[in-house]
Amino acid sequence: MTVVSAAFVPMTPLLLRHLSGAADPLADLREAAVTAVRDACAGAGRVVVLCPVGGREAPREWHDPSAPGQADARSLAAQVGDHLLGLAGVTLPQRYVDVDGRLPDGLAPAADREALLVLGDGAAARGQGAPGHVDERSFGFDDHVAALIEAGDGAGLAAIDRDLAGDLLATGRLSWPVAGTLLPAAEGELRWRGDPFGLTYLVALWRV
Amino acid sequence: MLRLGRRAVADHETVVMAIVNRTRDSFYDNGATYAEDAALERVRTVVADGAEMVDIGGVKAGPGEVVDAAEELRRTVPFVARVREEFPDLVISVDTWRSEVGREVCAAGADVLNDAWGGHDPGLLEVAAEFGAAYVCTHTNGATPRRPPHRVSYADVVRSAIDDTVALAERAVAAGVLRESVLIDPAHDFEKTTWHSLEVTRRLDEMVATGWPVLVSLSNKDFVGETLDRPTQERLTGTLAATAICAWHGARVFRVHEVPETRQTLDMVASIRGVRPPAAATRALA
Repeated sequence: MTVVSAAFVPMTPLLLRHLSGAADPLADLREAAVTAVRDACAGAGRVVVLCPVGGREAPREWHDPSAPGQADARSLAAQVGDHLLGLAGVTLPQRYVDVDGRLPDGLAPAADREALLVLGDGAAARGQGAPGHVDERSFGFDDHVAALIEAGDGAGLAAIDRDLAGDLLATGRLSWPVAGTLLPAAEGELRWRGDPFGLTYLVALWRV
Repeated sequence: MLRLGRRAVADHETVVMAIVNRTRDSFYDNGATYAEDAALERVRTVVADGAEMVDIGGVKAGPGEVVDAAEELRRTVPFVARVREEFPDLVISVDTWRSEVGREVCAAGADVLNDAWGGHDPGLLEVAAEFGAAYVCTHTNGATPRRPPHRVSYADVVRSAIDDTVALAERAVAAGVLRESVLIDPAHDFEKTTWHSLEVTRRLDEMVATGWPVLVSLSNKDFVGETLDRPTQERLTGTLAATAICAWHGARVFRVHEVPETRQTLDMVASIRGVRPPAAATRALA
């Protein structure tokens, strides 16, 4: 692969606009994510979507609860990535790859300049109503990861503590090390960080 | 016929099961009846308001204060005994997932074990069988007790609820619980998004069609709050709307905070259904 850029975006189902009903609590996050996807894909010839799969936080099959009977049962990450690419108007060839933290086989070198779309969230244990309730280790973990992403430090991302990240239900543990291995150093720009539901979301753009 | 310990419930009857929390941190009452005397006063009130049954709980459903088995026993067992002494005919349910708690509360006079975490402790239904208690089979999709739901997904949430609760019901009967004393509960909000809880409500008739009596626990829950954008203390209207739909679909037992409002709602539905005469109908009949 010749990776020239990467967009880091969350994989929360709430990025699908309709799921929160009339309210849209993550409108600004979605806008930041779509812009990052569009920017990462500009100038690329193909996009590779890294889809975390593992644990209840990154389901391999996900059914939209608002649309009973809908046939789409791809992974949650793939459905969110597909949605963001659509909103960004990206028409490049797309390849979806399930990732579990290790570099998968088959990411063969390609002549195209490739953009990565890296789905994944930070710690999900930052508050009383959070999926993982409160784990004080969340705060240091998220600060560390945000600094690596902002610095474009792929080697650092490849070496994050995946056991800790698993305890914190951070889906990024499944995709960030893969992105970091493929892109050990880049120019990073952290564009959005927040934890509105006690779960950290990050949006960033990397360029080589 | 539904049998809840000492009480037989006729086929057209519905039962109001009043929540009595001996917890410091439950989401709706925030510890209002944690003290034993306050809890007993709550029982007196709900019985006077028409509740046929109480559901006593010693552990908050969601994350919060750690309550081990010893503390849960301390909160529930003497209290069950006090309630039994004062109200010999009241149906007493205890909301617990622990078999060691189930055993002691049954010995103290409980009639029903409300296994709100869906068979997490397989010994609980054996305790129900041993004591002749009724047993509530709850759909939690295998969740760990007190763990909040996260990104839950079902190909068909109603199918999942039916399959899991009916399987647990059959296990209960096989273990010796009386068939007429086993109930199933789709467990609104438990391992469910609001969309899932709405669908379970919409299709509750499918659970009723299994033939197992259905218990619903709707009271002031998040699916009501999220649907109407109302905080915890402003969810009664939405709760009663959901109550009416579930009653119309054939639910039999309603686990609630507000007893008189629920009783009126159930009576109204029963009269619309035609199984309860109006209380005083003279309009245009003179």
